[in-house]
Amino acid sequence: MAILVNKDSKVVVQGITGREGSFHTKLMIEYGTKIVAGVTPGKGGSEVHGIPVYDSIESAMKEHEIDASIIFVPANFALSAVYEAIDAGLSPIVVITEGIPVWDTMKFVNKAKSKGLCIIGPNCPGIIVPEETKIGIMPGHVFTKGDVAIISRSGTLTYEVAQICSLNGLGQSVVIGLGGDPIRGLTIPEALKMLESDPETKKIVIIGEIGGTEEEEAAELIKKGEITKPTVAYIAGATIKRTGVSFGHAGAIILGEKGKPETKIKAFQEAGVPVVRFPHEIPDALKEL
Amino acid sequence: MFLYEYEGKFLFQRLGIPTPPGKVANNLEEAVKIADEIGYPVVLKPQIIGGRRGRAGAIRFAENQQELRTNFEELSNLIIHGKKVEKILIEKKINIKHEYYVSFLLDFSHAKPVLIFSSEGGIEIEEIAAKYPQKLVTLYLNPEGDLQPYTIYSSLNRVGIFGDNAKKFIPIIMKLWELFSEYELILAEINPLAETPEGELVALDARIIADDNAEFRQSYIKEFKASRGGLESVEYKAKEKGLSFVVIDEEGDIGIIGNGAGLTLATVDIVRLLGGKPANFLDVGGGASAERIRNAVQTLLLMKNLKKIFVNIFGGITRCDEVAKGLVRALEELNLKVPMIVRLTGTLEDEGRRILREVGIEAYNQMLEAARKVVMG
Repeated sequence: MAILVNKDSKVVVQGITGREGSFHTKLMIEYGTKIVAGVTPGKGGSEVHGIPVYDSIESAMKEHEIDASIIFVPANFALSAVYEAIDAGLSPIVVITEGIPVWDTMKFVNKAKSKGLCIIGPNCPGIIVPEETKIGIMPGHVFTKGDVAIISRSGTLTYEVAQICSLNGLGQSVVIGLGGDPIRGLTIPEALKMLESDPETKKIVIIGEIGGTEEEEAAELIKKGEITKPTVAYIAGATIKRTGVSFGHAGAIILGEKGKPETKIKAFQEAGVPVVRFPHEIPDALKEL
Repeated sequence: MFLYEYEGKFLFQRLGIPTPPGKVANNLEEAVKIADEIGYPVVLKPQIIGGRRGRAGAIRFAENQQELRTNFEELSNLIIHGKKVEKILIEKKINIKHEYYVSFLLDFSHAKPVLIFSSEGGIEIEEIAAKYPQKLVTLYLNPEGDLQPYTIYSSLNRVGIFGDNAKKFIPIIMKLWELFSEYELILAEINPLAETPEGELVALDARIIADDNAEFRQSYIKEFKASRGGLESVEYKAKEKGLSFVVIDEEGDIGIIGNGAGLTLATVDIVRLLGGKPANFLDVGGGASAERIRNAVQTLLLMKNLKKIFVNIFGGITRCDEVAKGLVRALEELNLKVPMIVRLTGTLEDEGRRILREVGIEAYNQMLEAARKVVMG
């Protein structure tokens, strides 16, 4: 039993008829994820890869039991889609969509929080429990089962790190891409707290990046002893100096003193967390813990 | 996106937030004309994103045309925060009795808007917080976007501003909120908010951060971006082609292309940590087509010292065969004079490698190995 999801999680795909939605539905089914229904407003009654499509989550739930959602709808319709999933009480709600205005994200993140539901993302690759379920868009073959949890603000870099770990015999209990936007549902500190009480996870890798203050908040938790599991950190953009401009992710931006890589690295080091300089140093750092 | 002060003040004027009379000048001639229109004394403010101009000695005053000319020329030759001054805002000098601070900002960690007010302004907010914590009030607001005047009154009362003195702040702060919420900003800051000897309130500076993601429904973002020049316009044009391009070092000689923001940042880091000089950050995003890859290579050719191109691709949604086709097209169409070092792994990598081998490029499998080749040759 991993955190948030497992092999029995029943999933609805919102935006299943779109290019990305349909493509990744196929890959998720192949991985073993229990996709039970799809939703695209106005396309109810059709099918995608054998999965029935409904106009709304409400009609889908009349026919199926559903736990979680993964959302592929375009940015300008995302607010409505996430609200719909929240109203249906689904959790986690994995928001893959990139480019959602931050004011929209702020609204749905608060709404989900007030109902005690978990949002992963937006602008994220999703969550994978190797050999059990994949609610996301990551290439499944680079992940192997094990006891290392990886939480990350990045997509591709997460695959890179998972592959390096897998090649070095370090399988994963769960890998969560938290997303690249400045306001997100699940944060690094919240994910750490979940992993602390997860019996499947023995060690943790945090992949942070420039921008925001979550890495500092995570370091504070570790310093206070709330997180005791051995942890390794890597910060993408450690050599970046330019401020006031986003590097690919809307959240990867240094604003004045906030978001500088030096502060993040220092915070982790002061909490006793080794910070590696290159992704390929992660396996050795994990083995030394 | 950070707005320039003159762009921010343009929005202030649109919403009816008082600013000193003035205009931005691209050259001395324009500056003289503007000063003649608004009358001396004037203040000269170089338009640089990042603030702290005062400390860099970059804000100047002029009592007459002679002083304006001298100061304008001096400021035009300044490099502030690594950037050459291109535009200078010329404004009527305002007499100041007192300086306040007011801002609305999105607190990312709490996912809520915040109102920050201080009865001491004119210095950076971090400094205000350290020096005058009792004169600073921070108030979390409803994320659904609603603010009523009573909230502002209670904030002002907390820092010792009452009655008529409090009342005169209400219109300007309500308008700032309107700007913040309707334009979907990340930060709307007036610092200093000046009180004149006559008791008028005037926004002397404007620091605004807009949300690029809202561009599809906020037309001002597109308008400002399109009207900017230099490197910023190159970065903006790249964005329209689906490329996140950021110049890191204009003197850098290694062009960087990656897929995914995190991986591309890591690529920049590894090149620099191995002793190389990365020129840029260029993330082609997910699922890049051959066309987008070709355009990415073309964008790098704008870097004047370019000696090598490092392409680092971990295919997930992105297909290695598309990447390879794009690189081949770049080789054929762009008359490349610099070598390309490619790391290619993930979805359809065998096909990608085969395509590259046909044009004499042997792609690497591991990032470190490829980075070593890039930096050490």
